[in-house]
Amino acid sequence: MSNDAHPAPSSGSTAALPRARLSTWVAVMVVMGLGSACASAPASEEAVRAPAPLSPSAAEAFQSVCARCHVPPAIGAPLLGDRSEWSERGRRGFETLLRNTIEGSGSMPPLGTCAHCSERDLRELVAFLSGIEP
Amino acid sequence: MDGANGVPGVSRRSFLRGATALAGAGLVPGCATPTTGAAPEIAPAFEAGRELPWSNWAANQSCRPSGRAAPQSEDELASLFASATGSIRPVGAGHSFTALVPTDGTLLSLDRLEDPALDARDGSVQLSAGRRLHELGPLLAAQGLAMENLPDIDYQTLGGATATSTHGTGPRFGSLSSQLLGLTVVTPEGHVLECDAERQPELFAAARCSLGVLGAVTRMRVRVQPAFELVERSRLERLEPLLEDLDSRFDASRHFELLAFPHSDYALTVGTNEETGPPPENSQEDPYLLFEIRDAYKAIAPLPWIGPAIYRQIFETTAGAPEDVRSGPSYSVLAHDRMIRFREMEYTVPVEAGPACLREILTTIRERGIPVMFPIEYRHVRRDDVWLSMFSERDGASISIHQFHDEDYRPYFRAIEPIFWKYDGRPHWGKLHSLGAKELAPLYPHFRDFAELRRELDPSGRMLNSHLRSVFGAEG
Repeated sequence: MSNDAHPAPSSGSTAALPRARLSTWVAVMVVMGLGSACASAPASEEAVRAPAPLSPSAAEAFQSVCARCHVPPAIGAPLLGDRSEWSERGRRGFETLLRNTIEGSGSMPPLGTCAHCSERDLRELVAFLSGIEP
Repeated sequence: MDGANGVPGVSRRSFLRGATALAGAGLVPGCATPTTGAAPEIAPAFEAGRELPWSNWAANQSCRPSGRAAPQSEDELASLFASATGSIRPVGAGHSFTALVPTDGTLLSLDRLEDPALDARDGSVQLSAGRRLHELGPLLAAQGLAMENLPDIDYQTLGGATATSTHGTGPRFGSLSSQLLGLTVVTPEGHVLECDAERQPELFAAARCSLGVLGAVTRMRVRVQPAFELVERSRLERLEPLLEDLDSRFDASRHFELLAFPHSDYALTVGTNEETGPPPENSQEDPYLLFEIRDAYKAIAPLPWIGPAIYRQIFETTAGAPEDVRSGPSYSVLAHDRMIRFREMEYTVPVEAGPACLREILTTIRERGIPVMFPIEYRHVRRDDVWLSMFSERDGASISIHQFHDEDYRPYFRAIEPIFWKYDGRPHWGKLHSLGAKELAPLYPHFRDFAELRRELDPSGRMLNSHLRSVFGAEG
């Protein structure tokens, strides 16, 4: 923080959690996704590919918003890396997935609750989560 | 069915699920009533290349903002206030059901605000208002710390949750707003103000629950405690004996709440405590169980003569099943996965009026035959000194009614809302209600003080929308 009105941290303060750590975390997730993509190649998997790395803004949104539901297994949402779940959803096409993300569908709330995410961010996130090419 | 008592691996949830499936299948196979069309569910269509529409979590509020802003610093936010024309509305996770957010101006998100140094000292930490509640648990645990209490869900942002005095259950704990020890507010005129109990105390009293109309709260100093573990135990009980012993049940647990099932004479009680000894085995969770109960309700309850009795029998039988247990770090127990979307109305009545209010709601549902099965949530929250908090200067019993998001909530909510008024209830700012300034002002000792401060900080009213103009009315 550069504003002089803000109090300086005390000597016992803890360093801010660096958002740069996200890039490491997202790299781990992408490797997991890549690993999963390489594990098997069913005949109908043509449209499901290894995800491209996320841009910084999309990666931030993934960590703080999407991961809440699309990473823990107990919640019941289609998980990052779950190829069978996403293949089934992908049969309706990427644009339908994107529309469901923006407008909401079933338990999926509109925009996934990311109010500031742009269309570009959401296209990236849908591709990243689903492994389906735009 | 009595054999379910003590059967290993048979939790209450699995028993209830089995009982509803058997009852529904055995009596009326294939006759479950399809859900009605959602009303009103507004889903503005997405058009590629055009500014995205915005809808809230429940999809009952929406808008088409002219632009979105996600500043990364307070300086950038102050510049935004200076340069933006038209209205500006802050948005968090969009979990509110009321129209607090919609704007045709700029939608302001604090999600990307740079996190300040945690600065853990004197039992508190510094956090960005853009932090999602579900991030706080692991973040604080890494420092051996924890939030003292959390609301039922953790999808919200810290800023959004405190803007409406979102809360869990006590009775020894207040809302999230009462856990704030200091705030930084960037006003609509671009001033960066810091406040706490000593510095600008009136701003502090107002800004801890501000509906996003005083500007943008960017940073908060939040009271925390050493990290701790909790065990949550839930079971079905008959409601009436519970209501007669309610104070002692609340006093006996660190956190206690009940969820009363309409048309059933039963409630789920949830008691959460720190426990000594080895942690118990967790029951399996099912975030979608309510859908199964709804299917059974729709299949059984309409049957003439026997339907209501059979539906009640499901609960009577299930009450014998073992309790459900969830244990672990406090943040993973206090917050729940709620995957079923719904619409909600919540009012907070004075704590001593809670049982009578709940009884009247349940009697009204039964006598009018209102077709609802969603359990009614009942919580206690400690009073605070936050001007617009629903718990301002009085301990509260918060009573919430819900309807599934694919059903029309309006007839149900219209039938019940007057009961809350009768008991001097204050509506949750983020949950559906029909009150305007004329009804709201008498409910809060400091409503006019807040409105006056709002006018000082935002003389042109750029932080308002039509809903908020109705809330503040001539007072605003």
